[in-house]
Amino acid sequence: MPFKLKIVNKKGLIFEGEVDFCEIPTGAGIEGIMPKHVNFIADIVMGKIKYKIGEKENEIDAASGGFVEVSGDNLNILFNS
Amino acid sequence: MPNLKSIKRKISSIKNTKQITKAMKMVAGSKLKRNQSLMNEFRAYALTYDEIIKNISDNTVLYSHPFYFKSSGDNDNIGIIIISTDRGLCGSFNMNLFKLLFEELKAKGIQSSRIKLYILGKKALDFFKKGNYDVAFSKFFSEGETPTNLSDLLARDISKDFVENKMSEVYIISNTYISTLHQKAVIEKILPLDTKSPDKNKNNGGYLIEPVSYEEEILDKILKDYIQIKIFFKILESFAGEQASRMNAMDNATRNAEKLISKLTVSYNKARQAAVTLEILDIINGVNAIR
Repeated sequence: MPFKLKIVNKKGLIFEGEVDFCEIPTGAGIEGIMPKHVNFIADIVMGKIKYKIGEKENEIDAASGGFVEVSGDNLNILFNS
Repeated sequence: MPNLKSIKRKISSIKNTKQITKAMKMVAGSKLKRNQSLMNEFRAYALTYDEIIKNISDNTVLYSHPFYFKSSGDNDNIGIIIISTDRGLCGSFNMNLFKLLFEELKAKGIQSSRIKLYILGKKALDFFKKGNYDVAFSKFFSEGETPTNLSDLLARDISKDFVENKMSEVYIISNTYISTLHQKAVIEKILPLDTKSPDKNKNNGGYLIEPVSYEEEILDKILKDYIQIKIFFKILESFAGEQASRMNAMDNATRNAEKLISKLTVSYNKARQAAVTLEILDIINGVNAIR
């Protein structure tokens, strides 16, 4: 059961779509988000955002500054650059 | 009979004006393109941020951030942010803002002594300087500050004044960009943030914020940034709208100049023809007299 992922920075929308798994570098360590995750907020630190659609894995470089929010089956990631 | 020379002078001066308005239209057009693309790039970010704040407001049960509360004291001042322009010649762009403000004040029965103004742009400051208004903040865009810095400064001032109970509500008045031909002045409440009564059917179990030891700092930063992002996006919208509005105003001016020129040319030709006819009559009369 996939969930909706939206990745946005100040220059525009980077990714929007359904994914099965997402890995985010946060202030508290790398967080893996699966469907049915508890509502969740964290800040983002330098690192790579990874997401999986089926078995296919994609990567995005995230500069520092930003945050991630999970509510229901929506995952929103905002970062600065 | 109108003087030929004076008509000619008028025509040439209108032609000059027409050239200027045409040039200004071109300049506004190219600036519009740049501002428009800046606005569109940022739109996704601003809208997603809006959505997230709405999500948080929908199911906050844990938090007691001051942004969510109306001041409990007897201080019922109202803060109003006005985003205007530095330059004129953009039609009714700025006037619409002021009109909307006065309409709102009247509709809500708020005396002007109760409002506190936060002004961006020279035109609004010029306008409100005359009246007896409490201007708490004013900056021009042409002073060299980037919109990011301006929105940052303004957001910090507002958050501080709001948290310190200097006002109970904050509104923002600015022009939204609907299309090149259409901009609309709108008023929007930015503080306190709206809270919904928790909906039982929704997942209103609050949020897990990590790292847990910083959860208040993280939420504080997110909400403060939100105010800044909101103002920043409004500024970008206003920039795009300003150029669009100027383009239209200058387009109209050019067209009006053309109309005036053609009207004056007709009267010039008529006057010239009258003069020629008169001269011919003179000559014929002279010839007749000699015979």
